Amino acid sequence: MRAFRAIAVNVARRLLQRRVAIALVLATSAHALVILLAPAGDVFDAYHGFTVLLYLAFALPIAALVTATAAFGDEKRESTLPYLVVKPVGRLTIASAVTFATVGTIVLVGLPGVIASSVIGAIRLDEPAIGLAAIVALLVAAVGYAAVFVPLGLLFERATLAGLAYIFVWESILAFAATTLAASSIWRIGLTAYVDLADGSLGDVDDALAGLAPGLGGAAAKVAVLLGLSVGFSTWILKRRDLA
Amino acid sequence: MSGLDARFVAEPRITIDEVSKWFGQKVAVSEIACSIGPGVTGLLGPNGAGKTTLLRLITGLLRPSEGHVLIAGVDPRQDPKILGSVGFVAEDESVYGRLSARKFVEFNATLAGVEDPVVAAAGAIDIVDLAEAADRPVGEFSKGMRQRAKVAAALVHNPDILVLDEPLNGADPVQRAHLIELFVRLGSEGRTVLVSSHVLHEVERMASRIIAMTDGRLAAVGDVRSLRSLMTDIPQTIRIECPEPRRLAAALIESPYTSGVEIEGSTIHAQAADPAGLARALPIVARQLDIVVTLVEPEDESLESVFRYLIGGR
Repeated sequence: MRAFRAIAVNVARRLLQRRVAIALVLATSAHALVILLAPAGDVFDAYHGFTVLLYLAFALPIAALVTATAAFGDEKRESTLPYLVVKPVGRLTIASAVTFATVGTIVLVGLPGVIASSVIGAIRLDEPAIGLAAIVALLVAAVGYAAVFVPLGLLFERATLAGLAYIFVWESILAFAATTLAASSIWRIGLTAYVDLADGSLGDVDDALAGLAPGLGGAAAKVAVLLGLSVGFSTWILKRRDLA
Repeated sequence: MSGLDARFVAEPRITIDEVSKWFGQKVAVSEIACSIGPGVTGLLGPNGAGKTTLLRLITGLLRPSEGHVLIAGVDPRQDPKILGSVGFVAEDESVYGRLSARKFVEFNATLAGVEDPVVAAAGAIDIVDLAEAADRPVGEFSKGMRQRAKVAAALVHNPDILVLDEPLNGADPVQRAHLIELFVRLGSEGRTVLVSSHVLHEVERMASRIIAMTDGRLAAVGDVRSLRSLMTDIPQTIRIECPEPRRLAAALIESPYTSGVEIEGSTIHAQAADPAGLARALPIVARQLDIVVTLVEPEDESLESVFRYLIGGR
């Protein structure tokens, strides 16, 4: 457990101390500004629309990609992986600690934007609990994206490019065009939790579900399975592949 | 090669069993078989000889394409727990640059399962003489200080086996002397210390046994004396500087130890058929001719040339 904690703290600290982390926080906070500037009559639609379209479907996946592919990727690029793997520490412990730290970092990077938009939305709409759905969606998406992108960083030198292809080709084009693929889109899994927790009809936001049924339980189960598969795959790579 | 038996030791702590490693079409290490026991063993070879690849195979960072590596009888890739008895200094300058040296060593101690990482880290930092700078970020260190921080991290859990890839890189002469003294002491305590280097005289100062590699293969294995005797038989070009090079060159060409001479200004380039014999004869000849020799140095004693000689004819 001490090794798990030490690795997780080290990885999270390293990911958060990168200069790009500040840019990611700003990028995931942009939608709050849009909600702040929205005309009084459009605040409800602006809050939900931009939380989903700007934050959940665009800024958060990019922030998660840049963060998660660096979790193992930076260790490989900077040749610090031996400090983790030439140690009497199980590969499962290493993989799970790195993945856990990555989820935590994505949440920390994405949280300021959610808090800012929630505070603005709560004041302008007089709905104190309006931010809950976005916070849960952030948690679900953080787990899902970490599960997909952490092993990519361990496998490929150009993991960011592979991740961008997933976000812009798979999630944005293919999963939009073919609704049967929507269930493989991480942000839409987060959206099912969001719509489940948000009160009433959300208009255009409901359409973005692309046929998926809203439900927090289903979303949580899906990302939990993804997380298990991801940690298992990273463990396998650490055991079977060359690490230098 | 200095004989098959020389490749193996009586009490092996590291066993390399017919190990090969290739990356695509490139063979990095080819059919290496040897064992390493307590004491300091030098892994010697020119750049690109396969030393780093072999050390990465030993520490489990790389999977052998063929063969096995065992540490105390255990494959480290199958059972990483055995790595608790191993301290490793990688060749790269890699460190967690934002951590202080103390936190960096403590982190390594924690992962190695040390009971009290704070106390262990302080001890290891003292050993490498880094206490004054221990709270500065490692990223701000000079290369030599960084190497010492890495050595402290490798020593912090008091391992039985130390695998050190070019640990003296970047260290200044005082630091080098200090680290060499440390490795010799650790070896004399009965630990297995495997140190790679491409600098022959450094390895000679600390290692009682040498494993020499070139082109991914073993070139020679044995004690320092046997390898040195192989080297002294290598024909060499010796640079000799003196005020009267023609007289001295004429005398040297008459000696059986010299196969040819070239004169360039006040410098003689002497082809030594027997370098050791020439080394003995030169002062005698110079004294007889009353010529003051101002410089004698080998022109071609690079490790690459030694290894080319050792593997010549293969």
